[in-house]
Amino acid sequence: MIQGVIAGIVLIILFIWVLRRLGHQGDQVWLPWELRRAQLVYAEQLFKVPAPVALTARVDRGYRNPAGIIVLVELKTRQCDRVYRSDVIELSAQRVAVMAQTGEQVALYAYVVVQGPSGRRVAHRTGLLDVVEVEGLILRREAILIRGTAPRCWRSVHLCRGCCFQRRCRNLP
Amino acid sequence: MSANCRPRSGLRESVSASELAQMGVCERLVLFEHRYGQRRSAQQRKDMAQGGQEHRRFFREGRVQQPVRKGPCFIATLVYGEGYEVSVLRAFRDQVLCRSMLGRGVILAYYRAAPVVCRMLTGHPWLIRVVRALLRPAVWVATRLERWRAGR
Repeated sequence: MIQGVIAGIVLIILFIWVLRRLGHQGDQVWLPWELRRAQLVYAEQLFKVPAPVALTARVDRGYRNPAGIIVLVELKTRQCDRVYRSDVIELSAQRVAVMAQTGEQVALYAYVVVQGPSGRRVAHRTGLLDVVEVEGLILRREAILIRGTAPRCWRSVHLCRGCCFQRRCRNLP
Repeated sequence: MSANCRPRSGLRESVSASELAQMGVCERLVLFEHRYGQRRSAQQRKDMAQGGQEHRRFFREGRVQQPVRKGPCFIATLVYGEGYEVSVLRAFRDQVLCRSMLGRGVILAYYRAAPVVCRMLTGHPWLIRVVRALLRPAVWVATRLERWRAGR
């Protein structure tokens, strides 16, 4: 009799604990429909490409869809719910690194999950740059940093306002 | 010179995806950061810390979604020994729990807690009897489900 009561109490405590644990895992409402049936294969994993251009990329998440293609997902925490060009470049570089290291096929699109201040997440599907375009960007970066090619200025009011290099930037031609 | 203002002498051997992403923000910023090091305002540092925290949470959530590594049913084996009940519970784990995220969460929690529970149970026969009573409904449900699935 006593054993049964103890078993009941422990069972209730265990049930509450499991529910609380699962509650803290966050809901998956934001997860795109396409990825709900996909298998998560990479989470916070580092990929390295030694050659021809050395590239490292940490993938937030990579899902393998039923067709066997990897779809990348990147989490961004920001005030406004939008995708920037920098997100596209970052995911494109990740794609190149994953393909080069694993030899797996990675989709030419990815999802940027934007998490707002309230904690709400929205997934945005975005197209990616191909391998040639990513290599071109790496070469352009090298040209600016080593060969003294003049960098372009975006002249974004919002961006320049928060930039710590404003004074130096004004002195550039 | 603060750690926030770190000049770099030469080009790094490899470029990271996030460094390359800066090319999409502003090319001049890429040049300045390369020459004078990263400079972040207090607000930006705060945002980055918050972002890191959210990324760790995102990673933890992902672990629940990943396929679970199947191991022995520690507690059930200790309580019942290798027998019919353990095989029924294993089948329940593989055929029912593994298929949903909720189920995988339960399995993950079980495998985390099992070694500690087993250590507590060893040497306490009355506790083993309690756990046996606890597992009885689970075995009953798993048996019914297996029969139902077999009959279908």
